[in-house]
Formats: sequence, C-alpha cells, structure tokens
Amino acid sequence: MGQRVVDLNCDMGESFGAWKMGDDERMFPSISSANVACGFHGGDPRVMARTVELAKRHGVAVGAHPAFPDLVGFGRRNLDVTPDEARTDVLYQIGALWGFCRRAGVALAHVKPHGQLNNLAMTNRVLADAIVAGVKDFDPELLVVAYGGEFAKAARAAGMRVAYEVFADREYNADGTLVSRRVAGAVITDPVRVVERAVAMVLDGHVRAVDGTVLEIPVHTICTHGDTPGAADLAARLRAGLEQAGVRIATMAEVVRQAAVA
Amino acid sequence: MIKMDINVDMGEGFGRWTLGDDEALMPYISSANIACGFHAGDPRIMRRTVSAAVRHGLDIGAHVALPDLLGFGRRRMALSPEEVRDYGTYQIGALWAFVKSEGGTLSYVKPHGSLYAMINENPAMASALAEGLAGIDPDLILLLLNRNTEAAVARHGIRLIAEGFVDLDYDAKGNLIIERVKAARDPDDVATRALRIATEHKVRTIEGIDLSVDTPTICIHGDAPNALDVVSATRRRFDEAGISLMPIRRILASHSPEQPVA
Repeated sequence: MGQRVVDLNCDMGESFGAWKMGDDERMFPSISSANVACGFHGGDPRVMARTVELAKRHGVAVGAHPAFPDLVGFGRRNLDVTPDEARTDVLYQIGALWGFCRRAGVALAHVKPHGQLNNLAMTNRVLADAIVAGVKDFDPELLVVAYGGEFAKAARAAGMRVAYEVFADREYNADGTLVSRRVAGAVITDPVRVVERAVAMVLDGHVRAVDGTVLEIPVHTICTHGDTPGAADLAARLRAGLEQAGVRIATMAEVVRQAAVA
Repeated sequence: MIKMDINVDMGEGFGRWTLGDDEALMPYISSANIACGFHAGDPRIMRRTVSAAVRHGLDIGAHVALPDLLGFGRRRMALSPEEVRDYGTYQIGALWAFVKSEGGTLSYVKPHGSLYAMINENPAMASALAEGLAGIDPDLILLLLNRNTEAAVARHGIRLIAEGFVDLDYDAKGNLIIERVKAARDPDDVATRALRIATEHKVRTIEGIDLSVDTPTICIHGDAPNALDVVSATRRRFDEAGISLMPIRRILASHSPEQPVA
C-alpha cells in the first residue's frame, strides 16, 4: 500500500490583457497547487494579482510557472537561449510573481517550468541545471516540480527538493518519457479512465507504462489542465474520485514532506 | 438607391488567445478593419483574417494602433508625430504584404482605440498618419470619427471619411462614450439607429438631441457578447429597406468627385 495523499496542480492565470484563457474560478475548488503564469507566455500584472488573490481565497498553494519569453507562441516553441539567459529569465519571473505573493501575504511554494522550457529540461542537462540555478538563486527551499529526467536529477544534484509530477491523462514510454501527443491514444480523453489511472497511481505509488513496465516515479502531484473543454468538470471528478478512494488532497509541500518521513 | 458600408474590427486574437468570431460575421458586412500586431493580431492571424476577408469579398482596412499589446491599444501614449507616421507605415506595410499575397486590395486605414481619439482630435497627429498613408498609397482612405482634421489630412492628398457608430453612444458634441468592456446592445435598437443614419443622416445623443452623422459607413463592434445578432439584425434591416451593402471604396467610386458623399 502506497501513500494516500497527493497534490493536484494546475496551470493558472494564463489570460493576457484583453484575452481570456481557462476558467480559473471554476478550477480552483478542485486543486491544491496553482502554477501561476508570470507574463512570459501568458499572464500579466493584473492577471497575476487576481490569480494570487484567488489562490489565497481557496487555500491553494502558489507556485511560479516560468516560461520562454514567447507570448505569441505561448512558450511552446524551442528557443535557443544561453544557460545564463535561462537562469536569469527564471529568476526574473519568480521574483515578479513573488511580489504579488508578498503583497497578498501568501508563500511562494514551488516552481514548475512551462511548456517547452519544461519539455527541454527533461533531456537537456545544461538547460536543466540553468533552470534549477535560477530557482535556487531565489530560494533553495522552493520545491522544484519535475516529472523525471535530467530536470529532476539536476534539482536533486543541487540539493533541492523535488515534487514529482505525474500525468493521469497521458500514456508513458518504458523510459519514463511521455508518449508523443502525435501517437494515437497517447492522450487519454475518457474521464472515467483518467480518474481510475490517477487513483491507481496514488495507491500503487508508481506509474505503469504503456507496455506494462512499472516506472518507479514517486507520485507527489497530478497535473490537471484548465484550458480544455470540460476541464473544470474533469478536475472536480478527479478530486472526488481520489477522495472516494481514501486519498487526501494536500499541497505538494505537505505531500513531499510526508513522503520524506515515510 | 442608398448604399452603405458596414465595417467591423477583425483579426484581434493573439497567439493562442481568441477574440470575436470573425468568420461568422463576415457574410453580413462589407469591410474588415484588420489588426496589425500592435494592439492585437499576429502574422498567422493576419494571414488567416485577410484570406477570409478576400474570400468574402470584403474591403480591407489596416486597423493601426499604439504599440500596447497588454493594454489592447486602449491607453494613451505620448508619441511624436514622426512616431505616429512611422508606426502607421510599419503596420500598413505589414498588412499590405498579406493582402498582396492573398490577392486582395488594401482600401483604407482606420486607427484603433486611443490612437483613433488622438488622431481625430489633433491635426498634427492626423497629418503625420496621413503622411504615412500617402507614403504607401495616396489612394488609401482614412476613416475617423469626424472631419475635424480634414484639412491636415488633405495636405497629403489623403481623403478622410467620417464614419458612424451604431453600438456606442454619442454626446451632444459628437464625441463617443467609450465603454471599458463592450456591452451587449439590443440588436433591434442598433439596427434602427443604423437605418436612421443611412436614411436621415441623424443619430440621437445621450442628451436626447439629434446629431448630424452623414456617412457612407457605419462601424459595428465584433467583440460584443451578442455581436452576431447585432450585425445580422442591422444587415437584415438594410436589406428590408432596400439599402445596398457595398464596400467603402466602391461607394466612393460610384459618386463623381464633385459630388459630396451620401
């Protein structure tokens, strides 16, 4: 029997200026950690202020969601940055969000890179080290959210705590990477199956790859998505399904703390 | 037969963010004011919007704005006339490239948001923008709220056309009451106002007096929550009254130069 506590994280505050994205107000009741966009791929000062206030009101932990500086590409494209640029870009964005956290009187709990910055850090150790350095520059106590790979190794090597993230709606390869979205069936769209998988991941304490291989990935936080149709309903079902299975939803800091004691 | 043009702001999405449903509105209108990337729009959206406008046989206008994506071009900015001229040239040129590559014609230029007000009230600014138009094509028409700056614009050989607004209120001085967020208007009321402008050249102000609005083109906003209802109701009213919907350039061409428009 594995752990019976898990965090639900979601990318939040990705609206920008006159443009709205996601239904944050409806997502907040279902999640325990918010990855708040910091203005580079989405979000702006007004949106950030509002998102942090909403998180506070819902008792949801706030984390920074730094990205490549690519608003029009929503941070989803490769950008050939130097390690120093990556490090300062991450530091900059964490600091910007921290200002709103400080003003609202909430702690900044974690950092989860967004989009392609996150994807590349899985395999690019130089970039992974640079991101981790930027996080550590700000506060070595911050949790680094990683789904494995070089990024998790870089964070551990730097002596930082890692909150391991899993995807209940994605199939895994035997090496722990995600099956490409371009492969049919890589994204699980049936809400019933997503909930079943999430419950199994938390109770088993590991992830099962598409070929049946058991992946020894700690299950600290489950990624939920706020920008797809029906996202808020799916998140609510996910939370209810986990709770019915006896799993408690807690912030990732608490989950990681508990895992360290166990 | 009365001829009228309906112009609508289009292509105001940005990157992953959408705004308005352009293609749904296009069958009902005759001119598209297309955002050029300064307040909204990006190269991919510009091509898509121009392509759709050409397909629907619409006249295309450059919707030039202040360089303020985050503020959607709705915040005043201290600019020199030379900056206004060059920002105009830049945006018109950018849109012109897409119009050329899609096989259409660029007919007019309409400033957006705060730039619209700045140009309309200040002859020096209007002259600067007109110089930008003339530098690209002296046949480009400039759309503004009134003929306040007509002499300054005419110095560069540019024709100024005052447009009418049917989903915003005028005050007795002929100024528009700008809404921070576009509110829904009763489609029937808007259609009635449009018909009155077309047939009587008059609009009722918030003070309850009649203002003379003599124009071949009316603007309807595509970002209202019920934009499709408003636009289709106006078009229907025109059709029922035997008013012929026609792009601005063709309306102007159908009048001899000596005769005043409308």
